[in-house]
Formats: sequence, C-alpha cells, structure tokens
Amino acid sequence: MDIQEQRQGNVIVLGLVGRLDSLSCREFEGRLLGALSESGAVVVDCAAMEYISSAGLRVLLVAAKQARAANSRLALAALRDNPREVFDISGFSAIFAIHPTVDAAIASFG
Amino acid sequence: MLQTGYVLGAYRIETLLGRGAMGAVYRGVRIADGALAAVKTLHADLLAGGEREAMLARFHQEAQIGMRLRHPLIVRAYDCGEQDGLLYLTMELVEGQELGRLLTQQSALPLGMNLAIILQVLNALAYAHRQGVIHRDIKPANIMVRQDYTIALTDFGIAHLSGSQLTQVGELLGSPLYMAPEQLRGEPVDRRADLFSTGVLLYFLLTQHKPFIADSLAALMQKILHEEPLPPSVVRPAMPVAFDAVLRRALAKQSEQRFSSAAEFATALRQARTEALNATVIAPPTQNRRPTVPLSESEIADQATRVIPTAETLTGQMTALVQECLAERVTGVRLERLMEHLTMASTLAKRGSSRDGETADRRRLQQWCAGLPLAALAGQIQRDAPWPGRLLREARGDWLELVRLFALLYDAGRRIGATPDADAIRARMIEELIGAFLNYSNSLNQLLFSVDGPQLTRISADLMRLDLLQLALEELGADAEARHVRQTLLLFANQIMSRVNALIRQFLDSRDPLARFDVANLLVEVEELIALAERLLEGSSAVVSTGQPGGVAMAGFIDNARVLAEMLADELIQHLQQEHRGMVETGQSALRGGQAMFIGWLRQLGLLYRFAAHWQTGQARMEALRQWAEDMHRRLEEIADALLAALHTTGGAKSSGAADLLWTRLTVIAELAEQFGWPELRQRVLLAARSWVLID
Repeated sequence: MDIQEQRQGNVIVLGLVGRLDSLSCREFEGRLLGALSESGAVVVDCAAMEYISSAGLRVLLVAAKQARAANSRLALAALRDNPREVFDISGFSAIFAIHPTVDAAIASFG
Repeated sequence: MLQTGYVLGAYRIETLLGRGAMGAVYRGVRIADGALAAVKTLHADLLAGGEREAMLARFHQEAQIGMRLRHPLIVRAYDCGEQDGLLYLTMELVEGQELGRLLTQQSALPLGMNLAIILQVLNALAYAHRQGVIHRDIKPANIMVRQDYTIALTDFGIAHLSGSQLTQVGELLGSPLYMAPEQLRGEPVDRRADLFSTGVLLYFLLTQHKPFIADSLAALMQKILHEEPLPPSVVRPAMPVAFDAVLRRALAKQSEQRFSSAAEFATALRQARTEALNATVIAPPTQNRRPTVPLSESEIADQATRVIPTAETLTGQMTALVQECLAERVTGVRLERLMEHLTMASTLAKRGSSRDGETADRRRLQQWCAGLPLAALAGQIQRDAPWPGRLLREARGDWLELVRLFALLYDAGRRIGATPDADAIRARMIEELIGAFLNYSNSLNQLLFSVDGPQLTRISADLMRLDLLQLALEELGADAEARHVRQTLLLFANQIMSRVNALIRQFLDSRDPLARFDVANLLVEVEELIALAERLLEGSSAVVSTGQPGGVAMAGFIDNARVLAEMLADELIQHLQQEHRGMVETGQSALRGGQAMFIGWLRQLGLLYRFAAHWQTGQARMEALRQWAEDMHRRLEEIADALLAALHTTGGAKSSGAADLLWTRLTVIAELAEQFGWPELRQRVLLAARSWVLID
C-alpha cells in the first residue's frame, strides 16, 4: 500500500493505492489521524484502493470518531465497486458520505 | 520480556521502550553510577537457520562501530555481551522517536525542519566517513529525532568499515527503497552511496513521495538503476525549484556525478535554502476554523447582551435548516449553523420576562419546539439504521449526523420548553438500539453453527454494524447503555473465538475431511479472525492472561494461529507443485489464475505468524515458539526457492507476464521476511532480483 498526499487549499487529500488490510492499516491510521488533527478537513481518495478489510474499516471508524469529537470533516471519494460492496455490507455507507470525485467531496465541506 | 530489576551486565533493566521481531529495547540504569542507557536485547534462540549467523554478525558490527564513533549526532554504543541466552547491546539513551514514526504521525514537516534534519544527517555522515565508516542503510527508521529536533543517527548494523573483511562485495544489505545503484549492483560502495540514500530521504521529506516506487522488487530495482525521478517542484508545485538541482545531483546514477562528500552536499543544500528564501512563495491563506463546542453558561450570559435576531427570524431560519437536513443531507456545516441558532434561541428564552415582548419571544420559541418533527426524525433514523443483516441501498451517509441532529433538537426542547413526547420518542429509540444487540444473540448462534461452517464474513460485518449502533447510543447521551452494549460485543467476540477454536481442535483430533472443510473456510477468513482477536484484546493489557475476560479464548487462538499458519504453508507448497505439474503437462502457465489466491494465502500466513509471535508470552512457550519459527522459516524458504526455480523455467523472458507474477509473489516474501526479522531470506530474494534485473 502507498499513501499519496496532496493539499487543495485547507483540505488534505490522502490517496490510497493498493490494499488497506491489517498489514498496512497502522501506517494509514497514523497518516489519517495526523492529517485530521493538522487540517480538520480530510478527503480519502479511494480511486486506487483495491481492497479494504475489516481492519481497514476499523481505522476509518476510529477516524470518524475523532473527526466527530473534534468537529473535523472527513469524506471519502471515488470508491470502486468492490470496496463499495464492503461498505454496504458493513453498514459503513450509512455513516460515510461517499462522493463520486475528490472535487465533489471538497465542495461538500462548504 | 525482561522483568524490571533484572540485571544484564553492568545494567539494571527498568522499563520496556519497544519491541521488535527478534528482541526488545529497554531503558536501563548502570548499577555503578546510575547513568541511563538503552539496552537492546536479541533472542538468539529465536533465530532460525542461517538467520542466526546473519543477525549475530549485524549485532556485533553495530556494537563495534558504535563504540568507535563519538559524535553528538551519532548514537554511541557502550558495551555488548551475552547472558542467559540473550545477546545485549547497551547504547546511549536517546529521548525521542524514529523519524519514520514521526513522519507517520505528522503528514508533512515544515521545510525548515526537513532541511535541518538532512543537514544534521550530513554532518553525522561527514564524521563517520572521515572515520572510514560507510553507513549503507540511511532511512527514516535509522534516524532518531529528539524533542528539540536534533537527530541521532543509529543502526550501524550493516555499516562497512574500510579494510574490514566482514562485508564482502556482492552482498545486498539495506533497504532497496533507499539504495544507490552501485549498491544494488553489488559493486564496492563508498561514501557516495550514503549520499544517494540521503538524497532519497531528502526527496521524500520535501515531497512526501518516494522518488522510486514500484509494485515488485525487480521493477523497483529497474527504476533505481535506469529511471530519473520527477523534479520535486513538479511533484509538489509549492516546492522552490532551487532544490531540484540539488536532488538531481544527489540522485545521479553514476557516483562520480554525485556530490563528492557530505560537506559538499550540505553546502549545496544551504545555498538552495537561501535561494528559496529569496524567491517569494505565496502560501495559500489558512482559514481559521472556529471550534463549535456548545457554549458554557458564562459564555451564554455574555451573549445575552449581544444582538440576537428576533424569535420569529430565528425560528424561521431554524425550521429551514432542519428541513434542508431532512430533505437533502445532514452536513457538518448545517449542524454547526443550527447549533449557533439554538444557542441564541436558548439565550433569548432565558432572558428575564420583565417585558412583554420577551415573554412573547419565549412563547414563540416554545411553540417552535412543540412543533419539532422529532417523531418523523426518529422514524427516519429507524429506517436508515445499519441494523445487522439489513440491506443498505443508496444510503445517504449521514446516519450518525441524523442521530446528532435528533440529540441537538431534543436538548434544545428540554432547555427552551416542553416538546410533547420527546422523552418517550428518545426512550423508544434507545430501546430499539439496545434491542438490536439482544436480538443478535440468536442470529449469531445461527451464523456460528451454520451447516456450511461459521459465516465469519457476515458475522464480522454485523459486528461492525453493531459498533455503529453503539456510536449512536453515545451520540444520544445514553452512556450507561453504551457501556453495557460494549460488554455484549466483547461477549460475542469471545463466543465466536471459542467456536473457531473448537472447530480447529475438532479437526486436529479427528483429521476428519469434513472438519478439514470447516478449517479451510476459516483460512479464507484469517483477516476477520485476527480482527476479532484484536477486538478481544482492545482495552485489555498488553499481556494475554487466562484470568481476563476472553483470555482463555485468546490463549487458545494463539496456539491455533500456529496450526493454521502451518496448514497455509503446506497449501502454498502444494499449490506450487500443482502449478508446476500443470506447466509441464500442458506447456501453459497457470500462474495468473492462482495469483490472487497465492498472494492472499501468503499474506494470511504472514498475519498469523506475526500475530502468534507477537502475543506469545511466558518462558514455557518460548521453546515451542522457537521450533515453530524455525519451521516457518524453512517453509517460507522452500516457497521462495520454488518460486525462483519457476522463474528460471519461464524461459528467462524478462518482460513475460509470468515473470512479473512470480516477482510480485517474491516481493511479498521479502516484505514478510523483513517484518519477521529474517535478513538472510530477504537478502536471498533481493540478490535474485538483482541478478534478474542485471542480466540482459
């Protein structure tokens, strides 16, 4: 897994490349929580995310909790079909705004 | 793990600082004078086969060079020895953290700090190079950063001493991501190899991108040897162009074209810094985010004198906001605005009733509260909830925000005036949420005892949904209930783990083919199993004890993880043999079809090994673990050998699809070997990748 980072104005965009599983999720957790506390507005670009396991979902859950407590914004963009299905069966699509593109996600922050 | 008070050489162990695959680092005190030190230990018993020699050599090398170098930016070594089957090395205690870890916590460091770190690394290298020492493994994990951002260069375990016979030409040590081309080729290296690695590090610090990155080791090496990375100012347009030239030189493929010394590199970097400072860079304006925590009583009192819109305006705006939330989506921005309005509304309602107008305001606000669509909102929350097993379609993704909206309006109603049935509606919602946990007991039993074996994927998804429902309880302020359901979730995890253990035991006792089938199904779900186990461990201490809730199931699972890992390794070896037979019989490669499964098994094997090795405790289990480590090492070696042999039967066509597939597999093995602390096996794969890339 590789994490690519970009900034668009105040928003940090973290691009996930590859598999988010229990071998790679610790690194992603650090980066995501770091970005949230640094900028308060983070988009996770999932266009190149091939796979997400429950360990990966738990990282997103931890981040969602932190974002709620700190009133930060967290959104997901460009989820592929397979991970999208994982989001549906684990109920995560009920609590994450999933936008078709990174730009749409940034625009949703208002 | 060593107990506090244990005496190792001249030092008494105090606390554990960190644990690696093969040993640990402790904070120690020199008994004679109370001086502090870091004590690094290595379980030589745990080293399998040829790994033992490789690891011991590194350990001694690190000690020798560390004792010889004396520089404020280099971690000093004091002493090394062996006691009770433990190798130990005492070093200067650096209060700080690895640069690698710092970078995972902070997404990007300020430019000035990045340059300061690199200049210090160059300073330390200039000294080491003068002493005839080439580090050969410059990377973030080997740079400690103290609180004041001074650095300490560490891990001279694979360093090269001029004139030393220990490291021979042809070896491939270090991390390929940071390695200079000549180092990759196995040619003799000099200080310019360290300068190349420092260049890679500088590039990474400035851009947050590694200059060379690829899916497999062979492809990575290809890039380091032949490809020019993009200039930093292209990767990150905010980066001043002055650094492009420095990095072009630092990362030159030919060592003669690089800086000739660390000092020269540092001078060029300082110059670029000056140029960059002179060029004006306009940073994008940063917006101040206003935290929107609910106001305290005194703040509300302050606001009492502020100009507040009339009750009519306020209620109109609030009604519109609530409508937007229900019709479209509850967004953070809408919630924040609503919270501001509600705060003003309660201030208005609290103002004394001395004047008629204000009493009318209060009445108007109360009417507004009475008309709040709490029941409709509760209905929507019920409909959209991620109940276990329910199909979610076209979810809006704002379910928790809906719950938060409900909680906000409910609180406002309580503060401003009576909202009919509000308490009953909230109580019913909490009841439904708790009900989901109670009902799940039955479903869980059915899913666990299904004729097709435990439906772990489904169970895992359901538990995740229950996690979300628990969050909703917290959002509603139902803390006691939330605590209660958390306990229920732990019980569920315990129940699942016990069932999994029973299935594996059943198979081991009977070797019955039907039980084998159940276990094969479990193997597919290793990720879920480990996630479950870690759920059980959350909140418990770092040591598994049978006295803890879930402790018995956990201890059983650690043993079973070992059995599963062995089975996986066997499956992998069999799979390779089948692929080979198929190839011989049909002349066609069957690699592509089995690739995903093969990689999946390999990763699962890695997960199980790391899990079991990590949680294994107690002296009695140490011997068993050692044997197991040896066994796993042998099997992984066997798999690597079979893959390398297969590579040569692909006809040596370098760009063939089959070769790419095999290299992806081998790259996973090298990654696992690195994680497990098996340098020898990793080195073997790296060397093979090198010959593959270099042979034309």
